[in-house]
Amino acid sequence: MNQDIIEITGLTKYYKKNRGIENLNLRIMPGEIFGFLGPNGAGKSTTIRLLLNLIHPTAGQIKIFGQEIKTHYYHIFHDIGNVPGEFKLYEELSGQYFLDYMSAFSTRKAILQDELIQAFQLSRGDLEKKIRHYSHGMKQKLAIIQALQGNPRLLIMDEPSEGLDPLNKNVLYHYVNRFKVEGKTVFFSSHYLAEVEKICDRVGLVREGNLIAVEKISELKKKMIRKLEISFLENVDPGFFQMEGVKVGEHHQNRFILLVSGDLNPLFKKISNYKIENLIFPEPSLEETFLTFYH
Amino acid sequence: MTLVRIVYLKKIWRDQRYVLLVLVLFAALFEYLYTWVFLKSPVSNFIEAYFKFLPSEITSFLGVQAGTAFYQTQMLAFGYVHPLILISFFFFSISMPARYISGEIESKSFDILFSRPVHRSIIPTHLFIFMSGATAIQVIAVITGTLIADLQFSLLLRIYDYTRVAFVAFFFFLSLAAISLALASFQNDRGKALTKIIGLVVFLYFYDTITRLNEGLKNLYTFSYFKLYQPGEIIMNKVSVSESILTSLILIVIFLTIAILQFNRRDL
Repeated sequence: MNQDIIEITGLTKYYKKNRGIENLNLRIMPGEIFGFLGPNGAGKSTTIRLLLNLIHPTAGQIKIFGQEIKTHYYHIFHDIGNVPGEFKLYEELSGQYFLDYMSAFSTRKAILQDELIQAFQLSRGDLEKKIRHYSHGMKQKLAIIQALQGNPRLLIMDEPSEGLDPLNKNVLYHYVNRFKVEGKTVFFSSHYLAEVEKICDRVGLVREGNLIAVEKISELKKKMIRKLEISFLENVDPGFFQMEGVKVGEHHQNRFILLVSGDLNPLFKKISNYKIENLIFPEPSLEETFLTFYH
Repeated sequence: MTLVRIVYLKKIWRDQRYVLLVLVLFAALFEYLYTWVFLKSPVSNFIEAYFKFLPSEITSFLGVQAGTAFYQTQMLAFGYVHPLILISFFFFSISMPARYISGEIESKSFDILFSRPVHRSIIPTHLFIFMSGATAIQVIAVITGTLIADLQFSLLLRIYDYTRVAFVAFFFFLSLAAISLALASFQNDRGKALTKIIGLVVFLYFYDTITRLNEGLKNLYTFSYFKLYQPGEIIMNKVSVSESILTSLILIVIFLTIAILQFNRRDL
């Protein structure tokens, strides 16, 4: 049996009287991309900072690679790459110096550095410039490269796509997938459902400091309420949509907003008998997604 | 477990090398010019005459008695506690712990560094190592400024006296560095850390001044921190050098230990 890469038991963190995270229990397996989804202030960053021993838990225990983080962090961190959510790089250093500086603290050689620099389209000229002259996106790329360059066994990423353009987001997703293929594990925090759906195997939903569900992405898709906006070229009675898993949110003349859960095929079969003018799947908000798990 | 990280020391050196160079040149030049202005320049006689008219409380506070055989030695010793020299020595002790501990906690720069196999005690210990080196260089610069003036103006100074002052200064300024490290390790904010460290130094300086000037508070002078570094009294053999160094060393051990323990246990 494969040993869990991350094992969190009863993890609780309070900042004086303020809640950070409460009684979190989670196991993450090898070769898994685990999405950690929640709105801002839900406790995602607190959990990650606990995983990295930057802050200490009020209660509970964290094991990474089977070893307790509190006492074995020094050995564990040889095999971890981390992209923090909120950070300030050393502005007076050049990009290249920063990458080499971070690599010097690790026993892992930066074997992927050149490849990553190329993939994220940072030029030699960019890397020679001081970080204070970098844009937000460039700083984010540098933070990602420093985390991945040593080819670590476990990647912990806190909203790593923030500030990246779509092209570079795809580069990031490519490397995250490559790590998975190579049997490595990725802990990927985000507040974008679409992003998590796209790259993760499982997802933990966190809200107000509590882990409200852990689901496989395929299960999440089944359970999730989806929004469907549809306009017809002919008159359709709202009663037409009376079927299992479909609810009419609002309608105006022949334009309907439907809330659909479960299998979409029966609905599509039914509406295919009518002439459709337009069909849109608006991105549901995180709150709408979370509502699924409260019912 | 690696407890020495040359790469971290190199980064601090890279950040601070020009500041150190400026402070070292300033210290050497200051002592040289100070010696020339107060002892050998055309205005030196006027300065000595002016000191004769100062109230005895002031001259006693400054440790300079004009018209005596000790005037030259006392005047040179005062150059080692001149406010500008004190500020230049305090610069690293005050600014570095605030920047590299509280400032990096505030900016969350440690979130990347400490997700590497890095022991937390690296930060306070290596800052202390750097400040030790910087203080040693500054002390040497100050003495060098005096020695150059000595050679040029044939002052016939006793080098041994100034070496003793240098040793006391080295440990005294390092004790302040250790105190600053301890204070900074409790703060999450660079500005607050700086305010508290500067506040403490100002308080200790005024405590020293008031307890020396006010006859009624003379007994409290025993507890003055600045009592550990009195160049005039060291040169005149009025205080025990070993006692001053030992007290500074005890303070260094206590506060450096507090800094390491607190930084290791705290949330970043």
